[in-house]
Amino acid sequence: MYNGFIFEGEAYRHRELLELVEDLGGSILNVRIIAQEATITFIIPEEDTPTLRKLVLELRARLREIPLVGSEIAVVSPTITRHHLPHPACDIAEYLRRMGAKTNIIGLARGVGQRVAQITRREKTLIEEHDAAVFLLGNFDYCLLEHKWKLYKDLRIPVIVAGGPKLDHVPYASAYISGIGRIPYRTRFLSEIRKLDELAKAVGKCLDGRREMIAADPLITSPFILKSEIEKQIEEVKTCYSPAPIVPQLDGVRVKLRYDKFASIIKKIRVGNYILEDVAEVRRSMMKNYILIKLYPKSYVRLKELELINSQWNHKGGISA
Amino acid sequence: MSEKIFVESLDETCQHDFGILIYKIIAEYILSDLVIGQAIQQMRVLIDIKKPLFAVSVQLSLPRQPIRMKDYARLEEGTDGIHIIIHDETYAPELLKVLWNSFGKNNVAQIDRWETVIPRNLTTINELQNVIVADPREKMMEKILDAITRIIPEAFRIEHLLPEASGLTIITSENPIQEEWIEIVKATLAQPPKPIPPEMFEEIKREPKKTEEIYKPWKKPINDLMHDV
Repeated sequence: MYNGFIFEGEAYRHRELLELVEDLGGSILNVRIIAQEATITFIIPEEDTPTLRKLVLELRARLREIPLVGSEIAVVSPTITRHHLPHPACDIAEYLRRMGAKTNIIGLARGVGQRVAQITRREKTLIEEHDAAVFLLGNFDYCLLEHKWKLYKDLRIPVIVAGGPKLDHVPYASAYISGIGRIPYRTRFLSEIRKLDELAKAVGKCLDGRREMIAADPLITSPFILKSEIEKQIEEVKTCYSPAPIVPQLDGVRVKLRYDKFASIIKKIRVGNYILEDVAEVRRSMMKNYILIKLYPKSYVRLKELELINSQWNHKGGISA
Repeated sequence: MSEKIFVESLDETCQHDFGILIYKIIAEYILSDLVIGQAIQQMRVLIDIKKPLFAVSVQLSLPRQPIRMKDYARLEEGTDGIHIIIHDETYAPELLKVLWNSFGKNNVAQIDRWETVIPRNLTTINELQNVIVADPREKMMEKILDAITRIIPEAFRIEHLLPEASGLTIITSENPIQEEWIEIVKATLAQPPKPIPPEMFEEIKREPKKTEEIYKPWKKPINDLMHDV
């Protein structure tokens, strides 16, 4: 398991931190040096945190934990009209971003109402490309308990529902956070920010559950390693206009390059001892024709290798040949 | 100031639910956003979420009469025609539109920001005095309708309008509106409004509360982290 941090300190000895992260087997996600200030986003193995703390104390720098690092989260609102946007959706998306996640706000086409609320297959596929989804719903408990669950019932990722009324839980959701429904103001007071904190914790808990599931049958390589390999081997990533050209997810990465042009190149890159297309599914993303890469678990890759060996053996005619 | 906005539940079982309380806050915010508090005497929002039914009734207080030329501009007769001189530009676009529509663009000459001339043979000063330049009530009415559509939840697209002399009532639902619902709304509106007791708002009130701790939500883990070493 990895822990994500943001380092904020003097630039003159920041190389020591970079070296330590590399030595510990971590990964550096972002380095920004502005004047004498260095801001470095990185991940390191969980058990090496004390070593890191010692160095940070020595450098007299600040360390900020980002528990949602390496995840992509969908913030879903019933529509994109001013009834539901901007206040709650943007506040939640920004808060999760500060916690290290990459968030995308998605407005459904027909998510409003009781009987008429619906979600299309395309929207479902788009939301399922993320690691978790936060649904921002309304203020009436009758709607939340009786009708709105049909929007997220069939989703295969953890769903956190934010709504107005005080309820223990809503059907089919992994978690429910009350007090953030349809509100006409920005969240500024402490009590409101605590609600956002609660929401971020719920998201973190859901992601931890998924991380544990993945750890039971680990991926063939870490998404962070895959990210740095793509950056090294594909030049066009550097000239991409998106602020985050490669977004790490829990079980893969999203590459913001055109699928038709770059998919065949990305499939052939080397990751460790493998070619990427042998160890991952490279498919077209529902978001803007981007490339979505989902890594296979180790056991599946091993199984595929065995099948390959068997077929070659059979092709040669087995022992008799 | 007396209370203007009343939100009531038509369902007996959930009189002061969270939804009912928060809709009063939403309505207050929207009215203050659009600056139409003065144009509204009373607003009543009736909600029955199980039907579902959402009705907004507005009693208007639109005091201002339409603005005529004599109230807005000074008219002078010159050698080249009738001079229309204004002192503020609040209704200048409306004035120009009225003049263009009446006399044609060719006949309206703008000397500067404040002064416009039209030929003498087209009209007289006395006729011009009573021309309506702008009707602020129309603009205000647009704003009020905008406020109503912002308050009503988005899915409630089927509307039934009950116009009155002093205001209007809009009954909305996502299902076809039944006759009996209209009767229920009319009967409720005939009764005096029931204000929500202020103590119900204690929990959802937005007020900064005094706190001893310095709370930095995303920085909290670091302090713990530093203490551990």
